Amino acid sequence: MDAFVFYLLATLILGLGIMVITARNAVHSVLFLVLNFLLVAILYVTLSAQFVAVIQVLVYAGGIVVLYLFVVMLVSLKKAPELRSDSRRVGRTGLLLAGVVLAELIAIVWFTSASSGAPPAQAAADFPPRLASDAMLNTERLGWVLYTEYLIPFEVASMLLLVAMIGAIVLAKKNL
Amino acid sequence: MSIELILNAVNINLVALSDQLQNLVGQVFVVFIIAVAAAEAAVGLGIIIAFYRNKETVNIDEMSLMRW
Repeated sequence: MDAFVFYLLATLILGLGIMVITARNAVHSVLFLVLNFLLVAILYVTLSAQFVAVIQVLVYAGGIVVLYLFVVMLVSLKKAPELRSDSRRVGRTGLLLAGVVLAELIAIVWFTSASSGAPPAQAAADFPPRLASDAMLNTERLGWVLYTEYLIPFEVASMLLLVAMIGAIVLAKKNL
Repeated sequence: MSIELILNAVNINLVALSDQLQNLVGQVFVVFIIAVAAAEAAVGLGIIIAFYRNKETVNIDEMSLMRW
């Protein structure tokens, strides 16, 4: 049942991702992106990361995508830009890079499973009780870690958001 | 938007591994990635709006000069 849900979600997410980058209409592309983010949020819930799922829905599906939608409608593309002449070469480079990343991932999984086979099996053993515990526990523990061990990175991230906000306002000024 | 898809792929990886290894640090990192993604989207779209207002196009092949 778990595996079935995962494969269904993964197939839908991958299909929607492909539709995002192949859609002719930019608005359709953004709407596919919303669906994609919501499905990823469901995937987070199945991975017992409830807080991240809520953040995903609030920030991505609620904030970033609305920003994209505004810009897409503001910028009104009259005609689709023509394809570049050397798109085949770009595609080959992308395929090569994808192959390198795939090899890297396989190597990581191979070596970590070879070195420590016990912890994943043990984790799988106590997986259902942890999933059955309420969502508050995950949020509580995440908040604890975030505000004690990662306090400085958290403040740096808040400063980054402030700088980005001021930068966006300056860029969007009338007479740049 | 493709950048958002890429960042989402990274986030899924981090959450899956944090679930697998019973380690909460991955989810902390995901929160930071989401914050950086929001900042990056705001600045990038601001640049696009400013460029469109000045040049009436968003074709990246014509974005070749650093000042005008």
